[in-house]
Amino acid sequence: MIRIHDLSFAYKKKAVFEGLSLQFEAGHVYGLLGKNGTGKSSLLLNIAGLLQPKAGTVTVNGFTPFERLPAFLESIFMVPEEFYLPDIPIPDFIKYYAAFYPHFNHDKFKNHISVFEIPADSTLQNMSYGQKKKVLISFALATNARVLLMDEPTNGLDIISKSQFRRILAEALDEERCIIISTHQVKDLENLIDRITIIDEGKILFDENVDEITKKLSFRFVYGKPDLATAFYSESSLMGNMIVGPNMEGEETKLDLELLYKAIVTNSGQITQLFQS
Amino acid sequence: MNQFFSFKRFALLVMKHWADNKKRYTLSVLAFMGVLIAWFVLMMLTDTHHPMAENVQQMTFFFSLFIVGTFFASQYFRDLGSRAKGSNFLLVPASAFEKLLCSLLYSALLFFIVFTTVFYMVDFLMVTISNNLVRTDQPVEKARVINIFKVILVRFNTDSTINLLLFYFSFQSAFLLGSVYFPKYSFIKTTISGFIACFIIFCCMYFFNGQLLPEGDYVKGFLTSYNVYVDGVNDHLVQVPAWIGEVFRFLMMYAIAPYLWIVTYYRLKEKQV
Repeated sequence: MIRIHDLSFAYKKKAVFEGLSLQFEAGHVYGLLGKNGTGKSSLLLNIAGLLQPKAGTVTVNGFTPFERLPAFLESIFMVPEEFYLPDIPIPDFIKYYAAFYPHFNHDKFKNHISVFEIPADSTLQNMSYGQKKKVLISFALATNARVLLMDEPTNGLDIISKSQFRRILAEALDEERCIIISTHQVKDLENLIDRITIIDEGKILFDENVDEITKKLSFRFVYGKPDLATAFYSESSLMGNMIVGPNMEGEETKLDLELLYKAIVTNSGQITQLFQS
Repeated sequence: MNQFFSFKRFALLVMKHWADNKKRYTLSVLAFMGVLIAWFVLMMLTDTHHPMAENVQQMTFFFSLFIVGTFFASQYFRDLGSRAKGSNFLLVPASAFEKLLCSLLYSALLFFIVFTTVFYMVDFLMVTISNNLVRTDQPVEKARVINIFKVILVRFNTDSTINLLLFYFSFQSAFLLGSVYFPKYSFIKTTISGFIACFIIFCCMYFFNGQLLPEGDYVKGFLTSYNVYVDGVNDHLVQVPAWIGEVFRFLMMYAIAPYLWIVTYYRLKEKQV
C-alpha cells in the first residue's frame, strides 16, 4: 500500500532521513514512535504529499504523493498535530468539505460526533481545540480514506475522549485501510496498534508486529537479581522492578509500549539481535 | 475522472471557498462602501465648485482598485504561510489547476465585478446627492457618473495606448503570484520585489542605452525607432519593423497576466508546507 524506498529528506541543510526504506500495508494500525525531532511528522508529511523527498521514492496505492493528484487526495486523509478548521457551522463544514470525498459516510460522521458528545449543529468557531480535534477525527474516519495519517491524535483530548477515540478508531479498522499514528502518548493507543515502528535520527531503529514482540519479549515485574541481569531494560518502582527481557518461557505478557520504547532506545543492539535471530 | 480539471470538483472548490470566506468578504465589502462614502463626502466638502468631478471619480476608482485589488490578491494564498492552514488547503482533493482557477475566479473576475458594482452604487448615490443637495452661492458644475471602461491613462507611444484596466490585471496577477511565493507579509514583499525588478530593468535599459547604442534618442515610438545623432544633418533613423512594436504592445497588454498565472500554477504545484 505505502512503499518508501531509499527516502532522503532534509529541511534546507538539516538532514532528516538518509536512505530510509519502509512499507505499510492495508489492514494494520501502525504506531510511529520516536523522540522529538526525529522525523515522525516529516515522514507523515512526505506520505501525504505535503513535502517533497530530496531523493528516493514514496508511492501510496501507486500514486506519487507529491504530485497531489485529486484521486490520491481522495484516498488519503491526514489529521495533523497543528490543524485548521474554518469558522463555520458543522452542517456547513460537512456540506462543503465532505463532497470532495466520494466514499464519505454521513451516518458514520453523525455517529462519531455523537460518541464524542459534540452537538451536530454547533459552530466550529465556538469550539475548544479538543472539540475541534474530535470533529476532525470524526470527519477523517467518515471519509473512508484508504490511508489515514494521524499525528499526535490524542493531544488535547481529555481522559474520557481518549477512550471514546480508541472506541471509534477500533470500529473504523478494516482490511482495506492503513492507519499510521505518530504519537508520544503510547499508553493511549497501546491496544490498538498492531505494528510498532521506531524512528531515531532519521533511521528505522525497530519495526515489528505486536504479535512478534510479545512472542519474543516479556514485560513483567521481577524481585530478584537474576532476572534483572538478563533484562534489556528495567525500571524500579515501589512494587519491585519492571523489566523488558527475552521471553524464555514462551509466556504471554501484556505489551507495555512505553517500556518497549525505552528499552529499544537504550538497548537497541541486543533487542535487534534477538529479533534477527 | 480527469485529474487535471473536472467541472464538478471546480464547482465544489468555488462553493467551499465561499463558505470559508463569506463572512470576511461581506464585512470587507461593507467596510469599502463606508470608506468610499466618507471619501466622496470629504471631496464634496472640500471642493464645492466641482463636487464629484470626473477626475476625482477616476482617480478614486483606479487608486482604490489598484490598492484594494492587489491587497486582496496578495491575501488569497496566505493560508500557505501557516503549516496548519497550508495543509488544509493543499490536501483538499482538487488539482492545482482547479485551485488556481478558483483563485482567479475570486481574485480577478468576481473581485472586479463586486468592486465595480460597489463603486458605481456609491458613485451614483454620491453624484445624485452632489447634484441635488450641494448648494453654494457660486455656480456648481453638474457632476456625471464616469465610465471607467473608457479611461485610458497610460500612453504606450504616440499612436497607441494601454488600457489601464489591462495594466491592472497584470499588476494584480503579480501580487497573486507573490501570495504563493511569500508565506508572510506578501503584500509588502511583492511591492518591494516589484520595485527591485523595476530598478534592475531601469539599470539594464540605462546600460543598454549608454554603453551599447550610439548617441541618439528614441523617436516616434518607444523601442521601435531610434535616431542616431551624427551632426544634426546626416543623422540616421534606425527603425525596426512596425509589427515588432505591435507585438510588444500586445504582449504588454495581454501576455503578462497569463504568464504570471502560469508561474503561479507551477509554484502552487510544487508548494510544500
